[in-house]
Amino acid sequence: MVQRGSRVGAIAGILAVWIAVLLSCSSFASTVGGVTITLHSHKYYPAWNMTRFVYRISRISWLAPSYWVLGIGDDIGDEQIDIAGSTSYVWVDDPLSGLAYTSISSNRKFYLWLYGQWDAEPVDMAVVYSGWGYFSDLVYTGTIDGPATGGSMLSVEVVSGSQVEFPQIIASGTYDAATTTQLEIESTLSGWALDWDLSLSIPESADASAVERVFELAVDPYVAAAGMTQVDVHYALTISDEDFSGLPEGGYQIGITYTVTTGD
Amino acid sequence: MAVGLGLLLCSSIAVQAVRVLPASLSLDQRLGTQETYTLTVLNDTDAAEELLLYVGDWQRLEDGEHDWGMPVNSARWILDRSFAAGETVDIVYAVDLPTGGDVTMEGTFEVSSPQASGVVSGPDRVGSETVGEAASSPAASSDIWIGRLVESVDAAGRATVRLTVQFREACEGLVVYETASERVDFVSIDAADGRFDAINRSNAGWVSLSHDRLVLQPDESRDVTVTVTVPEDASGTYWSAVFVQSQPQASDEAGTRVVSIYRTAIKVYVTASGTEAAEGRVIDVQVGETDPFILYALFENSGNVELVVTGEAQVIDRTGQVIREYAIEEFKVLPGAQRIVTVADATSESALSADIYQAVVSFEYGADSPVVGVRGFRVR
Repeated sequence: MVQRGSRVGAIAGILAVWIAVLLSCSSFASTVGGVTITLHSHKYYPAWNMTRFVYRISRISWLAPSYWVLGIGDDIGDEQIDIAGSTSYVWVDDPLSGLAYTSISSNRKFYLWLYGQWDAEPVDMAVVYSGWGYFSDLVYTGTIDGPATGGSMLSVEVVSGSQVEFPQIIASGTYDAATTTQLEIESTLSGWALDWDLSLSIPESADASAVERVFELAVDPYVAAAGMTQVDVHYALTISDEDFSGLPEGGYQIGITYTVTTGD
Repeated sequence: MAVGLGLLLCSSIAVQAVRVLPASLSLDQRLGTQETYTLTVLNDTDAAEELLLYVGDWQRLEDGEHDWGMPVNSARWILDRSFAAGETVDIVYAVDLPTGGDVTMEGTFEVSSPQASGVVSGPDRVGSETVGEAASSPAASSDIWIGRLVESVDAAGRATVRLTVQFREACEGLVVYETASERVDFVSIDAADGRFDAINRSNAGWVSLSHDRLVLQPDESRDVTVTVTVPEDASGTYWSAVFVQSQPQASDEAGTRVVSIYRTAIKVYVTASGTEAAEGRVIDVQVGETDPFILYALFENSGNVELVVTGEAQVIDRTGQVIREYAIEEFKVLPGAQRIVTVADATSESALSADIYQAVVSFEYGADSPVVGVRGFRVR
């Protein structure tokens, strides 16, 4: 029975290729297993740092298949997908790794919103007919333009508060910095790490350990998710009478090196 | 509607960043080969960006945090305590010299209170020709002096080096670095009750970059070539990071200010193909508290490749019944490194009744069977 299913699939595949050649489809459309699927729209939205892929079923030559699969590489997981904005999908590994979409009908559109900027390139796709009596699934494969994977990306930027001043320190007490530092971390992978290290440029007679003791850095809670993450950092100086004596007048520059890296 | 919601949630995001692709490099390369790879640096900001690019070392600490403070080819000792005037401290380490040769060594130190820094005195080459060569006498004006003495070099080319620290004045917090001119293995013999760190599996010396500085105009991108040369005697996985760092805005003004520098660390893992050996073991299991129950386990990566580890812990009573069960979240451990894992009861959990128990911790890292550590304990 598997043999027979394969033969049917092979004949239908040849037919599909023939139709595809006849129709001279654009590079954005793919006719596989009697279904023509078009990459209807591919657009990056800088304001949101998201990329939208819209696929449209433009033609169904035979019966509607059970589902079709958009091949997706290892770089994309649920973390990279705006699930709320995307058409419902199921991850599958067979007949290829990717997103399976059901409810196929003419002119139906499938939306895929990805965090970050994603180019389009030919990716594998499959059309699957299931539940045909004793036959095994009929699977037809081809290519269609989809998210170009193989590239992970990482960035960090100080979007505000690259230099933050403290009020003039005239006595012991707690001094909050005038503003916060706001960081933007963008990653195609979740689980990234943000670290910081201090370096001091202080008067010669100042006590470095006193500066380290009185300086407080607090990072607002964040989730190291894929996409864009904003992180706010607050600074304060809490100076005791004893510490105050170790901090002579002069210029104090507290350098903070923020390091962003992947979690691997 | 669903799409609209997705957009609404992200509508406040503005994209202004210097991006680096890919986010990390995990490379398999044959022994004795040289390969080139590409990093793309893209300035997606509205202004020109001046960037520094360099290769550096890093390690992952026992608690999983990164340590970015290790200079390349260095050993570091952190003595986080007070020292009395007149006190002397000895640090002893061994270093495996390159075949038939010696190595240039540069030592520096920092004291946090009172703020001070300096260089280590003594022969700047470590090898058989400098064995026994005394360091110059400490200057009368210096509060802290560190001298290097090469005590011996054995037949296998391992040099034993002693650093003698003399404190003329009381001080607090000492960090000492010894930096070699090339990659060598450092081994601690006596860390003077301080913390010793060395990254003996660094590949920083194998990695070279086509650019050490970039000035990118808005929307400009540049490819940086990363050349990796794997020596013939490599075994397992080695690592470093390529740093892409912004330039801080300098300020000479008085007052107190925070200046932010930001950098992306692109981890570079290089595995010598065909030499991988995945091995791990449980070093220790300790019961910290019994009410609420807290358990510590120390796992060590004794192989030569990074391990991705999951595990579970159980508390078993004398009848063999499992009283408590805990899942241990996945963690990663670099070769030669250790990881402390803590499991604990929720505060709402009822206390263990008075009895004798066994705590069993098992870790899976892809071997045929898990590695297990056991600790018996009594609740009174």
